[in-house]
Amino acid sequence: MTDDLEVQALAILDSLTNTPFEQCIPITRSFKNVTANASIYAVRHRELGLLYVGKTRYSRERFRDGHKAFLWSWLDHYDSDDVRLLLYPLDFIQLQTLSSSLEALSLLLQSHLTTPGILRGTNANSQQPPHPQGKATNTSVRLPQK
Amino acid sequence: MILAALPEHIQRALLAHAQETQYPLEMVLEMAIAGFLDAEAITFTDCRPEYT
Repeated sequence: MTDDLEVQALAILDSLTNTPFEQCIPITRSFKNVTANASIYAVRHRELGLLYVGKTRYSRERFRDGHKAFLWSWLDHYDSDDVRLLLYPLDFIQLQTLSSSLEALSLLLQSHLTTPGILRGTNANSQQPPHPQGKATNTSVRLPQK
Repeated sequence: MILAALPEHIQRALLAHAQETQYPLEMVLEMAIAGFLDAEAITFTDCRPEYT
């Protein structure tokens, strides 16, 4: 990964982790106001921070019929008001610039997700450390049941 | 052009998507095909089709 790309990836990570929770998109059935653009997105918990990071070519359609991160949140008994979506939409130029490196970028984001400092950094008020059994996959990071 | 070979309602949907996202139609078609071959892919570049 080039330096420029890494800088861009870190800017995306910063946006996904540090945007105030109140500015994230509440969960609805239709997500009809969500952009149609491709995006890198995060599913966030009000207290626990990042639950999931992924990429999609068609954001609105991706969430319209549910998403496994929402199912996991339900299984873990999270209050639906405490789980929100945050998108980093990609314009055509970004799509062209990043498309050859989306996999690398995705892995870089996930490597940061598994870093305790980053997870703590998602919520300065939270005293809860990352769960030691939290695990990363190629496409997502799921936090364990609270 | 691939678009002309598609049913009218599919053409309309693809054109509307291109207009809303401000992506060129060619990119919208690329994303549609890439997504069919690999659900995780966004473009041909990150597309890893099962059949290679």
